[in-house]
Amino acid sequence: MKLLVVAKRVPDPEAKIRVKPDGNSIVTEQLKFVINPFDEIAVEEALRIKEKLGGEVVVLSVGPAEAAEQVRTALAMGADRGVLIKADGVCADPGIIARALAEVAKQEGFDVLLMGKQAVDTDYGQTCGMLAQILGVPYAAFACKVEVEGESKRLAVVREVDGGLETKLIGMPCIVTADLRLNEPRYASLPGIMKAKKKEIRQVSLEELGVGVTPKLRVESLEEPPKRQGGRKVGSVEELVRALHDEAKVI
Amino acid sequence: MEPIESVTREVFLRFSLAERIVFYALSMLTIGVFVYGFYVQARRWMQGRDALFAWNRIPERLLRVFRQVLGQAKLLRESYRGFAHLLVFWGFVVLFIGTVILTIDEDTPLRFFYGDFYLAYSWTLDLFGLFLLGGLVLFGVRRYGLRPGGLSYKWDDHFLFWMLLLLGITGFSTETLRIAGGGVAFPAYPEFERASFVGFGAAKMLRGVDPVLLHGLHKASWWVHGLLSLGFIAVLSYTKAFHFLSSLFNVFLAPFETKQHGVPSYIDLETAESIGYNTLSDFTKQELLSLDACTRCGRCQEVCPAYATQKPLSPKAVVLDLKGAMLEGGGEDKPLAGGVIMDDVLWSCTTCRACVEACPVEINQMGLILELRRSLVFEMRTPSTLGQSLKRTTNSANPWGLPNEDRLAWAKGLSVPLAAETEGGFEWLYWVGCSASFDPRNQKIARSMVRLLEASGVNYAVLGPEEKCTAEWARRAGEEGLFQMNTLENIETFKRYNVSKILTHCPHCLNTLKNDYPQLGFKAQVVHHSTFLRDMLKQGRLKLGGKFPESLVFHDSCYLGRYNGEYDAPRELLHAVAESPVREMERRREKSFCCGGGGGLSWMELDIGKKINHERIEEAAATGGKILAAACPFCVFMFDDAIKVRNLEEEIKVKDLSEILVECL
Repeated sequence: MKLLVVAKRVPDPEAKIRVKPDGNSIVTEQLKFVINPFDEIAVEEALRIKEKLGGEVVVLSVGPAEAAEQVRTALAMGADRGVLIKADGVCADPGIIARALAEVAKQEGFDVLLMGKQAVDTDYGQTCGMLAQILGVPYAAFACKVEVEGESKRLAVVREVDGGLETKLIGMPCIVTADLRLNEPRYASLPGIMKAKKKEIRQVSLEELGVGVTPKLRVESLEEPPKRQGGRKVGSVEELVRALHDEAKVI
Repeated sequence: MEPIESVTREVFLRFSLAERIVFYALSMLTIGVFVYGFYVQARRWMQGRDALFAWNRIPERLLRVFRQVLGQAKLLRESYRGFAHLLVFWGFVVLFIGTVILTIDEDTPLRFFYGDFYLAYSWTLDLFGLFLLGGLVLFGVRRYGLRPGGLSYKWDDHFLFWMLLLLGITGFSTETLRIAGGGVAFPAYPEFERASFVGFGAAKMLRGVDPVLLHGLHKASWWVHGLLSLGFIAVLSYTKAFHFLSSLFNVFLAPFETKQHGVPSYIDLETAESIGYNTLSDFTKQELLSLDACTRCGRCQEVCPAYATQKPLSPKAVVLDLKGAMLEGGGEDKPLAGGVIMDDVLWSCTTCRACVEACPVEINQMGLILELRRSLVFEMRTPSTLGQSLKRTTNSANPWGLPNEDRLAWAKGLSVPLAAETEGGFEWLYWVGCSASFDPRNQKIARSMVRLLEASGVNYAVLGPEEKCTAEWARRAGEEGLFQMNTLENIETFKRYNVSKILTHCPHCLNTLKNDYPQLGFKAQVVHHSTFLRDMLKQGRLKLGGKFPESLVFHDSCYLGRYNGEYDAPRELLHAVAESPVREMERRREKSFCCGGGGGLSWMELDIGKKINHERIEEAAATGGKILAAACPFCVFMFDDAIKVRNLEEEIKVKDLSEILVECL
């Protein structure tokens, strides 16, 4: 079983994000970066499939040179090797990322490509769909359970939908995106990450892949959310109803 | 009547040459079998790493042997068992020495076994023979009559008991029959044998019995005693009696450095191929020996909070299972961590160190558990909630995962001197720790501390956002990498500010700053707030005007008490302000019962058995105390949680020492 899994470098979701004075990027000094948590779930799922059925897990990441850290974390978790597609400053354009990933996926070949349902920095959730379109393979989003039917080369993907669960059968090769409850990723210890330095990370550039770098998407501006206002205590139900009706205008 | 100078015991009384040859041949054989048996056992220890003996701190090691082996100090913490063992121990030791003396007289050119020496010898050995039998009777009553719970006996335990009993009885019966039957050079009932008071007294009952019969019985008793002794020595290494040697060795050889303050062994992460213990060859030789030192006495299990609350962990079982693996030459087919010792067992340990404190033979059960946990973490078998906290600490430098720049949120409205802004330096670094920095409940501890420090006129500063979690809990959960990373960063900060005195209210931070940090090259005077404030009070710098009206009960934090020996300072502080006598729980000081929050367990959801904090809060509430005084933020939040969950708010509240004192300013 050949498994590709995407691990995007994103700011630690628990960190305080600040917008730079230029208004369209964020302050990255002192900021810690992690594997996109949904991608981390995808890595875990790929590893579990490999542990069950054997095969190889190759982790892909598109990003700056520092994204090697995230690739290495995935390698420490148990992935076999990594491919780092070096791309600075274009990570906000899912179209470019999808095309870059598609090129590497074609080179590598795969049975299943896994990734998170969205990245927690931009929250677009576009790359997976675009990638499936470019590669012309079926695509199951928001997986909360994945069963591999190895012999028939099919995946049974369970998805959480309104009011229940839906199971889809898709043929390989295919793309699956991980939802929050698919699994709980293992913790790769720091000594483990150090040891993972021995594993191979192949570096390629967008040019080498023949992917154009002109973004079709441009960030106009970023702004911090308004500061949360303190609440207000009301004296009675009548006052509450009045406030909701007259001031908040929600009833 | 014989001249007193010539009286003696005829050891080989009425022995033919052939009989003597048989006995000596059997003795030689015995020594051979013993040496081989010992070699077989000791060879297993040699598969470990490092030297068996570190050749350091020899006076301290001898002192430990003196106290714990000769003085039986730890065993005597419990009167019945301790006293019984003391009797058997000294009875056996003196009788053994007596046998050696006899051998020297008999089989070397030295001759001294007569006259006054013999009389004193015989009297002493009779007395210690009685001690041996008396101790065995006490053990017998306990083992076969009282049958305390939690102990199971194997053939080995019975063997040792009955063997010693038979040796004692046949020793006395031989003496009795010798006195009643008379010797070759001495008549029956010689006056001088009154020194052998047990045998002489018993012999009186045999007056009038046919001397020939007595002679025959004497020889039979002699041979039974002799053969039992030889047999006992021959198989010693294969039975529980091996602890005569292994426990003695272990008390002498056990390291002080890692054991005393529960400090895990240092790992050089650059060179280490794997982390933690996977196979027996990862253990030190002394650790493998320590497995053989275990007598299954169960003291560790009795004090273990995990065992007491139905978790799968028993420190005794951990030692015995590892010993089992060693005997099978194991670790190859089954991993030690997660195989021989299952994950849940290892994650149940709160690192309270009660087992280590209780062990009479210096086994470091907790140290072994920590090494096995390291292996689990390295093999990525970390429980997910713990993994979350480790990731948060990696990214945010605190296990709450809150932005570290908000580390001064607790100080809102107070003017707290920040190290970075203090001109001309400061005397004391007040290490606030993550809990009092980020936990809304525990922020009160830091706020109280600041008021007390100001009232005492202390020149101090805090690090604020420059402070990073010590990750001591991560280290004890098995993540050495995160611990070392944060430690090196903190040491950098300390050096920048020339920090030499650190004050903290957190015993976990205290222990790691004081005892772990020297492993990475940083030494400072580190003081817990209980000690610090007690000294301030004594020096008259801290003046407490008020009294604390509500009844207090004190809980010893593991990391303050057992780890660092501070039992008195918190009590002195409480006595200074308490209006009514401070209450004590049954399990206190060295035997204090953990809150359940140590060793990373604050960050894990282990849903097996009763919650440890619930068990302890019930014990505290049962004393009738209204305020549970704690000296550790982990204890505070574990108990705060237990009080809420158990709906005990009306009965008891938990407060840190500083919160109590600040009310008395």
